[in-house]
Amino acid sequence: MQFQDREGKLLLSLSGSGQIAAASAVSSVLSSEGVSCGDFLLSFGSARRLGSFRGEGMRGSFRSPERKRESGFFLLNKLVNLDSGRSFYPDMLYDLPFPECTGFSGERFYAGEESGISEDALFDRESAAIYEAGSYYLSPDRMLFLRLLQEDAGEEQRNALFTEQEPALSSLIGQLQGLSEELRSRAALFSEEEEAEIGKLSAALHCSLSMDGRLRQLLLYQKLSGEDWREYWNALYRLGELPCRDKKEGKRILERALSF
Amino acid sequence: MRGFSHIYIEKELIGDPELDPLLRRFPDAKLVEISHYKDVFNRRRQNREMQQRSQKLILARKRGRLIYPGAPVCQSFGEENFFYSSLVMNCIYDCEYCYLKGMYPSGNLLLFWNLPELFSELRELLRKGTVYLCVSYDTDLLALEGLFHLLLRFTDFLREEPGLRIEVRTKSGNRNFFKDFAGRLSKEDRERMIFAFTLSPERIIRSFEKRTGSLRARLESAEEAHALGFPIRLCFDPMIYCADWEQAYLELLHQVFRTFSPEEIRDVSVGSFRISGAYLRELRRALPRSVIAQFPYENDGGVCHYGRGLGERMEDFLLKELGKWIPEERIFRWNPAGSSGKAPGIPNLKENGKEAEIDFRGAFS
Repeated sequence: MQFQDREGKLLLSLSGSGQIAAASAVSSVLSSEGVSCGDFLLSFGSARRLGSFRGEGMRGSFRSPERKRESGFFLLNKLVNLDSGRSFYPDMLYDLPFPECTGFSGERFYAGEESGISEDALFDRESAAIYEAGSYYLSPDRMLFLRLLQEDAGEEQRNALFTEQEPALSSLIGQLQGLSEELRSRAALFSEEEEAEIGKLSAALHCSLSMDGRLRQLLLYQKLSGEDWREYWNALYRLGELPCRDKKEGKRILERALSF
Repeated sequence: MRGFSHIYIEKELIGDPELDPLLRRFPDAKLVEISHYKDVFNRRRQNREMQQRSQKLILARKRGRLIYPGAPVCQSFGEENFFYSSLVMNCIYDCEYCYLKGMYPSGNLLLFWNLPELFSELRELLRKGTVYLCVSYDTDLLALEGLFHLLLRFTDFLREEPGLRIEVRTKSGNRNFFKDFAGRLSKEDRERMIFAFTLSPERIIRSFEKRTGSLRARLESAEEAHALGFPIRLCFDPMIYCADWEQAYLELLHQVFRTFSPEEIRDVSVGSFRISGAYLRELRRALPRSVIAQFPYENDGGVCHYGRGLGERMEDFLLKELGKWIPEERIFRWNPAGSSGKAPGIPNLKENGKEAEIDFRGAFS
């Protein structure tokens, strides 16, 4: 089931529970929607605590335990798939107002003594699978995992919890949207208009695939270094050198442009 | 002092009391236990540019060899028994042209907690003869000294091993540590710890060498080191093209020789920018809007460099100007053939017979 905002910038997919359902949903969405620069995957779900929270991975550390929390959102900085034994690490690059911890996931509920997992762990069924599926499409800095710990909370308590956390969640989504816009605006190296002109220029030079690559490299460099790349090539049109006769002529003109 | 928001630490290092002083320097960092550093360092599709905004620290123990022979194509300054070590991978600086962006999949800082093992390996080498060891190739150890205090440990080791010479390559303008180093070494011992400062024109530094020391700060740092008896090497490598490069490099030399008299400089190295084709591909992917990364380099058998004689013209120009100050025997020009005498682009065979991609580590920083 999917929901989209009016601007088409937020897509909410409900995957259902379990590793297979979650991984399938991720792959399906990212394949059909396509992934572009500026896309983020924000995974929401619920989790249970195996014991009182202490911060897994700090055994032997001199550090004092984190404050115990009964409920609320946690940001997962490490995801452990108990079934495969593999661990995954989303990049923690954003300043977010949620406590962090490790999330353990698997297809069956693991009791603390049986698994040897510390009491601090949050357990769900999907997070590691979502990361693993998502990693085929997205880099580790584009995936975030929030899990709602809600030990024995009834509906009224859950609603109250969401209301309490709403400002933080809204702020998170706003931050990601802002970052997404920034990344998208920087992504396109050439505008659509420029791309059309480059296409014409490539044709005028009778570019092969490798010549086209070199031409684009040159034009990108010219643009980034502040040169007016159009002026150089328009001059060649005015002089009658472009369009040229054949690939051999085009190669000569390209080599000349590349020379210093 | 710069902090890390997260420190990824290998399981076997947790509880190591020797790490406590290091960890205490980052009281606010979240510790994340990992099985192996590659689980974090080698993740696929990492975004180095984003990671550079919030660099993390990874603490690991390296298995296997810690000291490597210097590659023949690297500048050895005529030294025999030339080796390098990489206790730290990546740098806190962010130079746009750095080969590390092409070489490593991650932008995070990786520290191998292996000093005792490294010193053991070094002692074994020193039993066979003298050793010239470059310790700051894939990083900038002087820039990291405030965090890790590794050079202080090297200083203590150097004092005990008269057959050892160390080179520390840096772009740091930090002068604070030379007194500490000098305090632990006799005048003769200091002669065996060479500080090699990479120098670029100020406009190149401002545009492309983010977070590094300014030219003035580096020269003052070099001055301080020299005043305390450490030999100084100046590395004009890599030379970076800009529109008025001749003027820029002339101004650089003027500033250098206003600071130093020629006798005060042990030697200099010169080399224009070059990088392996594979690393350049990664660099371009990581930095699509970098004018340095996107320069249309010429590819000569897998080595990308300024084409059409530009690189040679730049080097010839600088060599000619340097020659007015420094005698020829103290000027080292990067030679792509290296000591093997092979032409550029021909990889060097590794011991197991497999061809190796040309290793540019240490040729420039």
